[in-house]
Amino acid sequence: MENDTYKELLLSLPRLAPSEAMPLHIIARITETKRKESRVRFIGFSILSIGSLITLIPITNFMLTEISESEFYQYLSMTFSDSDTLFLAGKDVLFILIESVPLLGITAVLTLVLLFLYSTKLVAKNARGTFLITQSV
Amino acid sequence: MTEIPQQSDSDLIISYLGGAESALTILINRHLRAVYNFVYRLTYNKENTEDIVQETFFKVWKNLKKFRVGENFKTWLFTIARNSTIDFLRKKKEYVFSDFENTEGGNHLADSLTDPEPLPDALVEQLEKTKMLEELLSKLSLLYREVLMLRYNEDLTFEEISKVLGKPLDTVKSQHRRALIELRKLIVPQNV
Repeated sequence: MENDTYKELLLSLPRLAPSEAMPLHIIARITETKRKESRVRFIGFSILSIGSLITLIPITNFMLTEISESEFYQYLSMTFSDSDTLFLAGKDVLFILIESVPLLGITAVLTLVLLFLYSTKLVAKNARGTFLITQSV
Repeated sequence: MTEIPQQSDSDLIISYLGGAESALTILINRHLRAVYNFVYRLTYNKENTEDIVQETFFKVWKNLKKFRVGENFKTWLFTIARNSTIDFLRKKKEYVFSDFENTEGGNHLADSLTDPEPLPDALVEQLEKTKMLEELLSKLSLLYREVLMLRYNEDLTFEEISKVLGKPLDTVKSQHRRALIELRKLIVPQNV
């Protein structure tokens, strides 16, 4: 049950004011934390981006080697050099082409390209967070 | 910083999570004084209060994505403030387990407590004029102080206080009654 005299008494307690700098200190701490987190992500994604770019070179070479040595390349060459064969056995050639696609190399290259693009995007985003965060008042 | 009129706490949170940095500042400024006063009356130490309040709002920011929009932000905020105060005092070893914990037992106690008698008006008037009330309040246990502050200074309902303290509703009501009884015991013998 409410008691008005107690309520009146407790409401008479002074409403203390925090220091004027307190909101600034709070925001500053949050800003600094955000900057540190951005810095960690910036470094991490930079490593990933550079790493994926460097790895792309030997993987691309592997893919090209795989293509050139595969039946896929041979059949593909044939479709351009012998169009009569293509006309007569088009559907069969198409299936053979699909079956002989050197998937491993192509998949690896595409994955690395996507990884490079994604990590580079995040590097740019976190570079903004690391170097350009301004304190709001 | 001009506050956009009638933007609720939930709207400010949505705005902030959507990229409006200033919304967080508005939210902090809106509740800073209330949290400061609540924490101060639990610790009665300005230095500790500043540290705890800073920590509270930092935790609020860290967990904003977890806040369920539509829920009572004030209840959530004061839960964090209370827990931050407990953690702080625990680290500083400035409190014992029983200070914040209910040792009263089950709900059956709620009915056995009678409401305290009202205070004489003259006494109330005198206490309001002097700083005696603050001193008497500091003598109350933390357990009672927190429920009184939340109920009367922050105008929370018993249901909301129950969420903040993480206790059943009847326990909170019982705690509130006991707090008033203990406060009266401190005030009336003073007879200033």
